[in-house]
Amino acid sequence: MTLTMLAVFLVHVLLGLPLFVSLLATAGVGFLFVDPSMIPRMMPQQFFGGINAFSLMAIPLFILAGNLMNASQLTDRLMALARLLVGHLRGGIGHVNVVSSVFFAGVNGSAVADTSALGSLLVPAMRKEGYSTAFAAGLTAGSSLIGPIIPPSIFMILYASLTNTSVGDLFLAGVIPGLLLGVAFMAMNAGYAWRIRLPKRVSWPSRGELTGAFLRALPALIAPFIIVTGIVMGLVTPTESGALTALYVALFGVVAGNLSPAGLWKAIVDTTKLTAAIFVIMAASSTVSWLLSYAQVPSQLVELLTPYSDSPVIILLLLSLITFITGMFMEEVSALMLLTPIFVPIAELAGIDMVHLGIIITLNITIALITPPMGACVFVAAAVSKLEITALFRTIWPFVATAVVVLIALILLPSLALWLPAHLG
Amino acid sequence: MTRLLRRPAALIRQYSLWLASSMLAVNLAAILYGVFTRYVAGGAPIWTDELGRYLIIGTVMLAMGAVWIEGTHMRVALIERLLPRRLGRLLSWYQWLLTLAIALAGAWLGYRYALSVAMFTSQGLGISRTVPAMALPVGFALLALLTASHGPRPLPTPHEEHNTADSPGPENAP
Repeated sequence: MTLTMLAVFLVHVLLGLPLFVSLLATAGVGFLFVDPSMIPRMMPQQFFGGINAFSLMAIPLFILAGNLMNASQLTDRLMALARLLVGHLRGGIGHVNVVSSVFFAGVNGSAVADTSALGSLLVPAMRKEGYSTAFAAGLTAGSSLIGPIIPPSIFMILYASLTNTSVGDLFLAGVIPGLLLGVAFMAMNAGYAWRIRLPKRVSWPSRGELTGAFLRALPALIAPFIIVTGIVMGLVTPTESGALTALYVALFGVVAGNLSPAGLWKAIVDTTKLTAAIFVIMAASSTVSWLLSYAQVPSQLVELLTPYSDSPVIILLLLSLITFITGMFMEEVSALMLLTPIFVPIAELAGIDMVHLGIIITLNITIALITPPMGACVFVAAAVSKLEITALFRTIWPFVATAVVVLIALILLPSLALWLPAHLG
Repeated sequence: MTRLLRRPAALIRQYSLWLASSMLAVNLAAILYGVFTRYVAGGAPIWTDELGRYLIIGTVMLAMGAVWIEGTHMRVALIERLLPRRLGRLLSWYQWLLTLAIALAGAWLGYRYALSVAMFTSQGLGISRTVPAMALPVGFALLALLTASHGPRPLPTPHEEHNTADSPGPENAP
């Protein structure tokens, strides 16, 4: 039954059906195997239940905060600061790309939004500095992976709601891995700049320039602290934190004169559309996920992996491999919704910390955003760079490998993720 | 028939998206009101949590059809561009019929589900559970109507809409 469902799903995805339609068709076929009389009761119940959770409401609110941030032109200020901080180094414009991704990550948990916003501005600038288009687009797509790792993160909120893990702990656990990813991509960029002998800029920014840029970007830079501090101190829930961040950014935009009522409404409409696109997949995935549990797929997988349960590292490597392959062929939200309930009992058996598992799954799912044939960030990077998608898919692998190295480091050294929640959580 | 439906469908798309966006704005206000009353008035009302959940379900279901017709639901539009014209047309028919069938089934099953929970009352708002559950049949019915009005034409993609580049892909992933 599981293989038939997988086949139905993949065929429909490849045929270009929207993912929620593919998932509902898969669920329909699955119910025919299990018990067709359950369809009228269980399908709508699971569909409704899949999105009937207060914690999930944080997702549209953080998306709204990100959209308002763009509408208020706060993102321009962040990029200007990044340019002054690292723009003078060899391959400076590439470093600006990565550092901007780190800054963006603090307010917008979407890798695709990051690729789209930074790529359209920085890829042409990188090309002008002597970078190849493929490397510039690859670095833009690669560094955008930092977005869902540094808080706030849509994937982490989703994982937390599926496993009853603390969102605050997950957000804290994402900080060091996100910065590690940034350092890894900057090192990669530095190596490339040295290899093709890009010139080094001589002019350093003055202290006055730096202070001015920092002060202009400060309203955006403090947003992540508002988000994380409020949640970790137990003052607000993640959903309330999302609402407060959206309010804060909107108020800033209005006071600064950058956000008109039309801009505010457009941000709300854009958020509504993206929310509908994501949540309908979550609702449909929940139906398939219930079917897989009903067919005891998680317990079968637990039995299969029980011999390795005394080695959390091997279990995490196996789970990462499964997620990596699944992520290549499945959209990220549905992959997360389907795999998490299956992985949790296995991780519990091996004594793996749920926060550690959350970071590993989140990073894995995030890497899928740049792997062929469905890597959404690569599609967007190719589009904004006017590059053939096949050409970018050929050159994206070093960036995937860099992210995988960080993933392996996180598997081998759990403290990289768990140190911060242990001390601040 | 699809041509006859296009004009009312365009209006429905516009108004459903407007209503869904308004519900999201009300949702934001309800959550902020909950935080405000907790810290300023000394206690948060219990209905804000429930109202927020029901509003987000309503938002999603109302916008689902409009998002479909704009082509912004996540999908991989790769194979349909590589197929010869006749096969491509066949694929468009299959995509259209399957979506329509699922939308109609969803509307019917959702309606039956909404009626089946009528005896339950929600804890926070004190309303019948049928009220929020009706979002399912309404949303799927809107999807069915908008799908029917679109006809068996190829689904639009965000790239076509915004004319940025010719590469396909799921643009709206998080």
